[in-house]
Amino acid sequence: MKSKYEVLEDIKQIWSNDTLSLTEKVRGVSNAYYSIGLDLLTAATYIKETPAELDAILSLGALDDDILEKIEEVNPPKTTWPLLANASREESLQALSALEKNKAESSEKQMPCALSQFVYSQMVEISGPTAEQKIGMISGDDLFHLWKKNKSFNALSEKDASVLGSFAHQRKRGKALTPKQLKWLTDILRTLKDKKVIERNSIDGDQEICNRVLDLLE
Amino acid sequence: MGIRIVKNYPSPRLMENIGATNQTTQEAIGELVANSLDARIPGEPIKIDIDIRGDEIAIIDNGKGMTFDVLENAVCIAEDMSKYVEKPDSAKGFFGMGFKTSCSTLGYYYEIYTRPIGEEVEYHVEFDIAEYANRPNGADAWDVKIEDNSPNPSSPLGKAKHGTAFVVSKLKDNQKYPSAIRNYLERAFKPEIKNGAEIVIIDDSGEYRAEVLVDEYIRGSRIEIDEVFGPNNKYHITGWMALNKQTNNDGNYGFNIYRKKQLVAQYDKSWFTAHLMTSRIFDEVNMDFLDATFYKQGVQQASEGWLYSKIHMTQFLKDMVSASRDISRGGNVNNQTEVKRIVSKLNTAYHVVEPVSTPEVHEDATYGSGEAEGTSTTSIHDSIRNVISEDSLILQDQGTIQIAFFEQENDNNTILPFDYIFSDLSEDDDNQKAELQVIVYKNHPLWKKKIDDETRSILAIQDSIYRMLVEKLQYDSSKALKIRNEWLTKRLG
Repeated sequence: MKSKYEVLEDIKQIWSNDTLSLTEKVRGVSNAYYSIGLDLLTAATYIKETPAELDAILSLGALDDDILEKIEEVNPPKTTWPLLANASREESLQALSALEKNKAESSEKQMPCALSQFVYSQMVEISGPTAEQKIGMISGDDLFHLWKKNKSFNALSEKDASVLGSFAHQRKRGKALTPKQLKWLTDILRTLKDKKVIERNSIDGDQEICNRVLDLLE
Repeated sequence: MGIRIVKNYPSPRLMENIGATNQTTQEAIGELVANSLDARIPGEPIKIDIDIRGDEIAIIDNGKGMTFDVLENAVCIAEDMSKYVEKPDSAKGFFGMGFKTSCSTLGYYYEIYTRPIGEEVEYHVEFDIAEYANRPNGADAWDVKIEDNSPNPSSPLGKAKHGTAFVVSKLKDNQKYPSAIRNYLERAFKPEIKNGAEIVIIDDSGEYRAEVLVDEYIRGSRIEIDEVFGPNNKYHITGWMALNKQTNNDGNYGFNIYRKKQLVAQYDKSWFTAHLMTSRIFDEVNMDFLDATFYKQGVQQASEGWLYSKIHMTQFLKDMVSASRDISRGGNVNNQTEVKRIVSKLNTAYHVVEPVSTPEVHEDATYGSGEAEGTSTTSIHDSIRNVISEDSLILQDQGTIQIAFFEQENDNNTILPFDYIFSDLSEDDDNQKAELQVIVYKNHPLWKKKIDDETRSILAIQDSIYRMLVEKLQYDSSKALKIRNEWLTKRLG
């Protein structure tokens, strides 16, 4: 078994070897790193890269070969690797195709935003809005109904109940909720769901509202 | 047959005031249901209908009903009912305030219909709270009329041979959610429902039976209990404990203690400090060595077995208590990684090698499926959110560096609050700028402090700029600091 130092040296060699393909680098670094109990900070310091860069290449190691080969072919900057490593297959393929297309079409002009942002926006096209973005679509009237209904269930803390009321008014006035408010609202709605204030096939005559909210929450 | 008068002597306003409680509709109904359960006939199934149709709430049971003597005392204020009725082991209340408080909480007018078992009679009493309040002070102010008639099929008791019905009208709150009532009753009377009590809520839209509540505990948190202790290991406790997905501010947590399959104590909290933070702990234990009279003496009893149990189980529970506290700390319950870490620690503490099976757990997105995490179920939203372009950095000798920022959930990098990836594309691709990708690791403890989103991103970006200049572009530190400060001034400006 190799010593820790030998493994770190291997990783360094593989990392700096420009003749290796991305796939070879990813597999080589990954195999070496996981062959012995290394920690990210030590390994990154040794090879003089940031932990995030090492982590990104290690994350790519979990991808199937065909996706990895596609990444190699398109050769996006390493700033996009964490995104590609954490996306679904469909999301990654969509982003890589868009990058390829963009490369071919925009030889004369530069991208107006960072490529990682471009990659992310392509992925979101496939995955749809985030859970919190979906929560932001719930109407003020629906939130108001839940606020009223909670009074009977007493499922929320006083503070959460009051916040739900103010979110309902904010939405009724046509104002969007901030990301922080959306996160809070998501937690509140989850509590209401857990405590069965909102449930599918509600027997309280508010099936449509419950289903609408659950569709966005789940 | 006729009318008999019961003398009652408190202030006429009392009846109105005892209804001014903080009881919710379902809690008030629960109190009446508890009375019905206490009135069950041994060996016969108890059925309780809660009819909330129209402008009334009626609680109707097929229990043993009340004889005249029992009813006479029941309508008196604050009478110790245990003197008059034989209550089952699990009786919930003995003083005669329950139904008056609850009915007065629900409405301004209520009636009692009762048919005692073995008698061909139906007693009827009515209380008009508004009318009582207007009576003058005096000895006769609280007289209660008890009518006795032959059982009338058109009364709420229908053709039942025995039973009691409370019918409340002139309701204080007309907003009645059957699911709120059902959910409350399912929680409050879980053991009774499990043991066959039939509780049905009747609404205009249909009939809804209270079912045995399925406990929803956090995956992997169920720990089996098989503890032997005491002199010569003479005491043995078996059962299980787990952490609930929610905290409980209604007291419905702790241990359900069974003796020879009979529930003798519900939601007992003798073995840990009761607190919102520990209110996820719930469990069922069998303690067959307890006294047969345990339910009467309750946990105050000083039997040797109970005292040894308390010492042993308090110690045994320590790790479960810690886990409940850890999960209840700000936001941890919604952080899947943190929940997994806490549960894993819990399993290690109780020497659980493999995750225990959790047949009763209700799956939801927050807790994941727990199955192999294949790429097919992964989505970018699971770990990364909102990649945002920030103000670019323009360097005289390097040109423009695009800056982007995102937040990532990452198990590996909790040692760092943030980090960066630098991609210098200037040599490879003339059309593309170099990029600095700043990543904030959401799991880092630093972010548990209150800090707004913008401050967090600026903090991470300015640090990454400095490090990139020094580590990747070999700037000396003073120049890197100057550039970083310029970016910061522009960004904040």
